[in-house]
Amino acid sequence: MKRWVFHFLLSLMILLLIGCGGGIGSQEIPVAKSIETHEPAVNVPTGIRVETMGYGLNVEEAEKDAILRAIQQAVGFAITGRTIVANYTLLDKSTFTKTRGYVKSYSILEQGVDPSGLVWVKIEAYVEESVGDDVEALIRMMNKPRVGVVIVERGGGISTTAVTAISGELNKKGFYIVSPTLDEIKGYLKELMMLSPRTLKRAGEALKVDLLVLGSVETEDLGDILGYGLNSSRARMELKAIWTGSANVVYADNLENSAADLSQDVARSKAVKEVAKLGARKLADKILEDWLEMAAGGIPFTLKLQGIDYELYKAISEGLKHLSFVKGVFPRSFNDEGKTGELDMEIVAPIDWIMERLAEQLGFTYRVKELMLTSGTIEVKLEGVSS
Amino acid sequence: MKKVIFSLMLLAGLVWFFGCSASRSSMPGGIVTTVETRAYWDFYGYAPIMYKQGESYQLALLKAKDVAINEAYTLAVKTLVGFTIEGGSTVEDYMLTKKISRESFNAFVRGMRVLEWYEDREKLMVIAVVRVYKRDLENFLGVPVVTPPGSFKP
Repeated sequence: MKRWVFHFLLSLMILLLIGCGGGIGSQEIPVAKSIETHEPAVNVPTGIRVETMGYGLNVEEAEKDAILRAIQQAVGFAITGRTIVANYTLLDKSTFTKTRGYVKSYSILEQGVDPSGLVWVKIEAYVEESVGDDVEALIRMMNKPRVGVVIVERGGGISTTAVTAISGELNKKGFYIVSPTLDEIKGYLKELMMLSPRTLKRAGEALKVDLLVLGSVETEDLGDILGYGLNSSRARMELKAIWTGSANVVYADNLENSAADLSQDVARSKAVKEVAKLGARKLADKILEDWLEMAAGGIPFTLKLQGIDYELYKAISEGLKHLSFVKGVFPRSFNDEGKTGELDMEIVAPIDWIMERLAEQLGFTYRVKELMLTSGTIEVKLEGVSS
Repeated sequence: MKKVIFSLMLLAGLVWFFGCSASRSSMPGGIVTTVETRAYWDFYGYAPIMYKQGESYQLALLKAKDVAINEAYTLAVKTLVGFTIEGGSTVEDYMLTKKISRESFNAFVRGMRVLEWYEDREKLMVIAVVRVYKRDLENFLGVPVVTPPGSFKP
């Protein structure tokens, strides 16, 4: 009998333990579903994974709304606002939000129409704060802008230390770098930091570059200001980056840096190198940013046509307007004697690709004589033009 | 002997009953909260649907939705991050002659989710709910957040 009682009590205690244990466990706060981070895997995009809903009058608008919410949620956004009340009267109430992010990829999970007639979509997006490596890869794939780097010293010569430092940084980002010689740029040296749009365009064509990085550097010897027997130098640099085609200034800054070394010459060189690197890093980011915007909105391109008559000039400019990767066409000039014409365009695809489609459409043949990112010369064969 | 066994069983039963049920109802700090509201905050934003006859109701609805979401964001930032207020009043001869208040906020935030939004056709307004998870906010700020969780309405 005693053994039976003992077993019964033991079972009871076990039940008691299990019962209470379960109760306490269920009290734990469920872990809030946080912004899900995605583990990198094969064929799966990296970045922060978010699922959001978007609404609009059509699917495109709803998609855009959902993407914006995804970036706001995962990357974050700046919000600022104010409310002014005077004598119990609301004078001003405003809020402003701004977000910026990079959508690596997204897909629509679901879509439909709500009872109000609004289109809704649910998307899964992989977003990141900065464009980072992807843009560098993109630049490598696309027609790369050719960048000319000209940094002059106060005395008038080219600062090879600064040019090397800046070229190195830009090279890492996938740009083609051209370092013109003193002879090549001597025509522009006088007004290097204040080049007019026309001169810039001429310089761009002469140096065969799409973007010019211009700068002037000067150094100042400070002596042993630290008191450790080291010689110090300070370098000041004025740096600018300008698209030669549009004369758009991408970046402009005044930078300063100091360095110390046993030798005054080395200290001077170190200071120049450091200030150039500092500028190059800022510059590279700005160029990338601008490049992306340009790539999306249309890169300015000047198309020079040879061997054409006015009818064909008109037909080409009209035909280009209807091609999907041409954002804008602006006829610039036509010369009947020389049978040449120029068109300013905004393009989002390589010009040879665009010309191929146009030639197919209008039935002409052409020969590319010179091709750069922002300009090109194309000879058109009149014989093949269809009426 | 039977009495002893009975007493033991009764005692065990009582311990089980009180022990388990007590842990279900008590919360640290004595604040009456649910398990859910301890983990996140919900912020409500309201906006009128500015609809004029002859115009698209859907467009008015979309605009009101964005305003309501912005209002909810604003409330969230003001509650969780804070805001500055400056102002004052002028009283002359026991008469209030001037009273002014300027409220402003400026923050960078992350992890705010638009939980839902819906229209109230009777009141012709849109209500939006923005949810901020405590864990997301603490991760973002890098410090523990002391604001008591719950639902916030303007």
